[in-house]
Amino acid sequence: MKPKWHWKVLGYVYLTIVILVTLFPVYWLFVTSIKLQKDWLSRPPVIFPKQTTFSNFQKLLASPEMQLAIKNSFVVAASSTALAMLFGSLTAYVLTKIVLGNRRVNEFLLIGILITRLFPFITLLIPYFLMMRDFQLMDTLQALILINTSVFFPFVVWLMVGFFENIPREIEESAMIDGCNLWQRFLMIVVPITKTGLSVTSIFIFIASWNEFIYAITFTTHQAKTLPVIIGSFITDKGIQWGDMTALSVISITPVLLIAIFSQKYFVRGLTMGAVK
Amino acid sequence: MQTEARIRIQSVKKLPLFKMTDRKWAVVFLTPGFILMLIAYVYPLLYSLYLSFSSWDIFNPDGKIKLQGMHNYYKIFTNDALLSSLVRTSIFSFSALVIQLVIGVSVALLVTSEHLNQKFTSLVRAFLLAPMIISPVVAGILWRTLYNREYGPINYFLSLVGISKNPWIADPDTALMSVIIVEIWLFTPFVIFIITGGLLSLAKEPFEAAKVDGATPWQMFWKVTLPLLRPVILIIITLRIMDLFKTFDYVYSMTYGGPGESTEILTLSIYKQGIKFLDVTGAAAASWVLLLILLPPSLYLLRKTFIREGR
Repeated sequence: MKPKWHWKVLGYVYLTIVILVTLFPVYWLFVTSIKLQKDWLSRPPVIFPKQTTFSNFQKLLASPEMQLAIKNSFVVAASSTALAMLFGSLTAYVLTKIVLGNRRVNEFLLIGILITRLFPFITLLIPYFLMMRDFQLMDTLQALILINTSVFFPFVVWLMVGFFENIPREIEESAMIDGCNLWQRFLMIVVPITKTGLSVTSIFIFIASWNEFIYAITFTTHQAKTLPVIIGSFITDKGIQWGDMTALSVISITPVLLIAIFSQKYFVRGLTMGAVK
Repeated sequence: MQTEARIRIQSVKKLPLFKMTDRKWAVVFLTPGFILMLIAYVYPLLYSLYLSFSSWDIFNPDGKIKLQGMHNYYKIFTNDALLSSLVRTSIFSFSALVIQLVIGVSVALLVTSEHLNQKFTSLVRAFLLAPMIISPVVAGILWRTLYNREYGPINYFLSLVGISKNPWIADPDTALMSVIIVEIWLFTPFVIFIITGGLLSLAKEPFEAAKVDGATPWQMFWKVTLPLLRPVILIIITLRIMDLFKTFDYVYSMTYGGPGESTEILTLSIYKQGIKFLDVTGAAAASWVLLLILLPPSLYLLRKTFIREGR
């Protein structure tokens, strides 16, 4: 049974509207970042600028404060991803594959790790704040790396359990018979087999930690500021700084954009899977 | 183009577990994670629970943390600001959830429909990724420019169809609605992707059987699609409720709770109370109230994660 033609037209119109509403803000972000100043202070707003400029980007990239923030963001995201991936997959592997005395122990530990996903971050923020103060870690990259690693560790464990449990039992059994210990099995069999899973998970963690905002804004004041902190502190409208705001935003989404373009499949899988688990 | 996600519900009950052979390595593998869990979760949570039952004059260098029972919790329920923040958070969450579900299901049905051009629908699916590359903090900044009363494009587009200027986030009466719109823009694509994945993994037979029986598309949707999609929708509702109640980033960068307190949702008021005004004991108590609110959906999700769906 075929739907009547006007239903089809309605479907096309609806999807077109959804797409226009979805895409326009993204277009606006990019286009505002390359507009001349007179164009973002004009009425009616300039939707299609005739002249463009990269001066906003040049100005931002030349400023030492921005260079530091970009560097900080990279250091924090890369280190936390590496640490969370390492610790998380080691833990996940043992919990999926080795009986710790009794299966109940494995289940208990896995559930314990999963439960952390359910806490609102704000419940942890207050104690973290006091701990960072007591240990004088305020405004250090170490603090951000430590927090991000901890926050994303449970995610890595949960995502990787899903990949590890699919490794055929026989492969590891034959390696065990050949006398491989746990570490050798992990490095030579498990890691190569779960390359996809490891990539998807690292992409997800990298993006999440690159964008991480609330801990960064709470624990940094000068030296350890990351990009989201600087973007978030545009809240005081000292006049309208659209050029700076949007150019900086574009800079901050560039790594995510590149990931989305060059590995779309991993990107979507990572985002949705991370949220579902 | 494979842009759909599949929900996989996993169970630890059936893990292919091996006997412990090299204990030394197992200890090495588990130790870093164990230490991390202790210092980043177990200790802070106990600390926070302890704080929530205490009083502490943080500005006094000799001030000690003193246990004083339920006082902080009692204060929450007699504090109008926090209560109205709770009401606001609920209005925000539930209206966003309903709209996201309606748009999510309708768009997912259309992009998986065989009656529409396949090239068009796969293009739509690719374009829907766009908000996912925008981080929430950036989304807040971006929408502030879009909502701008004088220079923003939204008021301009509306003026083209004869709607007069709306103050959006500049007016306490419309600010919360404006925040809900951003939430919908930012996270509906995620809902669409999950439902699309759910629709694509449904068995074909019930649909064919219904077709043979001469069901109208309308009946087909209510009697076949929706019941089959129920588990996926329940998971989405749970996930969204949990994330909606935890919303923070873009509200911070867009309105910072203002104007007045019109968009001050729970996370933001707890944040201000604890970090800005340093009432750490009161904020700890409020954060445990939020945790308790999120307990039912959390437990549901936990159960779902461990029980394999019978299908």
